[in-house]
Amino acid sequence: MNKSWLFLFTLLIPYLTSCAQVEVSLSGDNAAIVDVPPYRFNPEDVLAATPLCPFTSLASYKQNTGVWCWAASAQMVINYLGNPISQCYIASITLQHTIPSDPPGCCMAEDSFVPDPNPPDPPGKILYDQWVEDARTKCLVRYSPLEALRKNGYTADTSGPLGWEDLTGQLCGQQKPYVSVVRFYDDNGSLAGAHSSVVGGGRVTPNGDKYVEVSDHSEDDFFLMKWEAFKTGVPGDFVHAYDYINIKQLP
Amino acid sequence: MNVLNRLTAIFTLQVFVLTMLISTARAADVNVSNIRLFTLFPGSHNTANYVTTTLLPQLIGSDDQLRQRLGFSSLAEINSLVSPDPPFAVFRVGLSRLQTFNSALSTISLLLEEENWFQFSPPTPAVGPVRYLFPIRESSRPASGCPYSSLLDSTIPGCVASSVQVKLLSGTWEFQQIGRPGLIKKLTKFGNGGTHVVIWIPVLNLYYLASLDTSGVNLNIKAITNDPYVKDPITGNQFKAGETLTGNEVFKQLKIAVQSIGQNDPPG
Repeated sequence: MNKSWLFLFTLLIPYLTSCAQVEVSLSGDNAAIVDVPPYRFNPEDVLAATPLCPFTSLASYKQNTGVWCWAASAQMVINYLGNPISQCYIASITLQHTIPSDPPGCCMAEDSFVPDPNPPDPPGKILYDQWVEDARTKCLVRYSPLEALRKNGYTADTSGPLGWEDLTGQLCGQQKPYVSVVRFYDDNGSLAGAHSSVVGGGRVTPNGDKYVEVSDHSEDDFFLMKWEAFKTGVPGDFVHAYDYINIKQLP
Repeated sequence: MNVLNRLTAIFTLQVFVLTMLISTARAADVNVSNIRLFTLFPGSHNTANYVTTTLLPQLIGSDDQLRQRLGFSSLAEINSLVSPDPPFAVFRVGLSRLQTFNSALSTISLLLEEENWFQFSPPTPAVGPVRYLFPIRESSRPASGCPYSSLLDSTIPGCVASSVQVKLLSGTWEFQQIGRPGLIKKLTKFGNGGTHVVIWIPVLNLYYLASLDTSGVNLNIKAITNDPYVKDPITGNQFKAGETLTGNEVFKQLKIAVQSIGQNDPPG
């Protein structure tokens, strides 16, 4: 009998102790966080990660409408390659909406664009309002970053998610960023949209962990992510679908 | 030998049950009565703490350009980073849930995707958030105040500069994105993780702050940027950063905005 109790007690010890860990709650302004004393390196002892080959002038660009990640990705790479054109210009050329309005084409569709309530004549209010309406109808669309690059005078190859050697080849060998496309899936397993971002750097920590530097076109945003997670995607968050690499200007 | 067999059996059983203590929630477990919006699993903070105090100094080293892009004000700050703020639980709202949003149901039901939750410890029915976004602070504060003020600056020293997102994967809290200074500064300007959660709408690349209303099953939504999709139903004006609308109103309008998006549409 005693042995049975001992057996049961032994069996229950881990669960009794582990249950005590999880019941930590944040409630309203009395939020309490379980914290552990931070273990800090002496700054002189920090072994810094090695940057692969840092770009000195790769600027992040936010997407200027809710659906222009493709234009922002194209803009980042095209500007890096020495052609400082605007996102709405890229969208206008790509979508062939180049009417000589003021501002031109798709620029009237940007989130920050505020229509003039009393436009001058010419064009007059009727034509001006039509320009604004046309821009929103024709320009607020999702599109392929590859097509955006091509229609603006650049070529690229489509690849599956790059392995580390190929990534290094793009960033260091060619000295170029590349465009990466991820897909989202709903909890029922159905596809639920896609998003493009630009990979512009990488680094390796002293223990060999690899990281990529990603600009995803949210406002003023940039992040580092473990390469292994970025390469495949994060379950429940995104799946890395493909990359546009070897981007160069058409002769 | 009999004792050895018994101990082996005990050990095997314990390992099996322990792996079940933290597991992805099943659909049947995720319902309004079981969810704990503001419950934090301690391991998530340990992971964030490691990134804040150990990994970031390694990654940045003396790279001033990377330091700047990650949102920090100077290299001198990198070795004294802290993450004392309550983290934001982050909930994804997928395309199909948004497209089929039923305004007659509670708005919290939009968060009930399985992928948003883990089960604490069966048979306990409670489920907790699977993603947390931790603000990272520089420990010193200029005499002129923080360059980007946050709601908790009066109670927590230092200034919010960057962030780390952690996620529970296969029973382990793993860090995901490190940085996103623009996002975290907007989130902490208008809310805090003790009272707000983050709604992430990947198909629109959009983030909102959300809090529970007095009913406990409906959300109030606060914009962190001027919203291109939603208008105030009374004034007709754009839903602006810092303003709050009912979740029902926001999701009704977002439903219209995503109605024409196809599953196979190109990126946006």
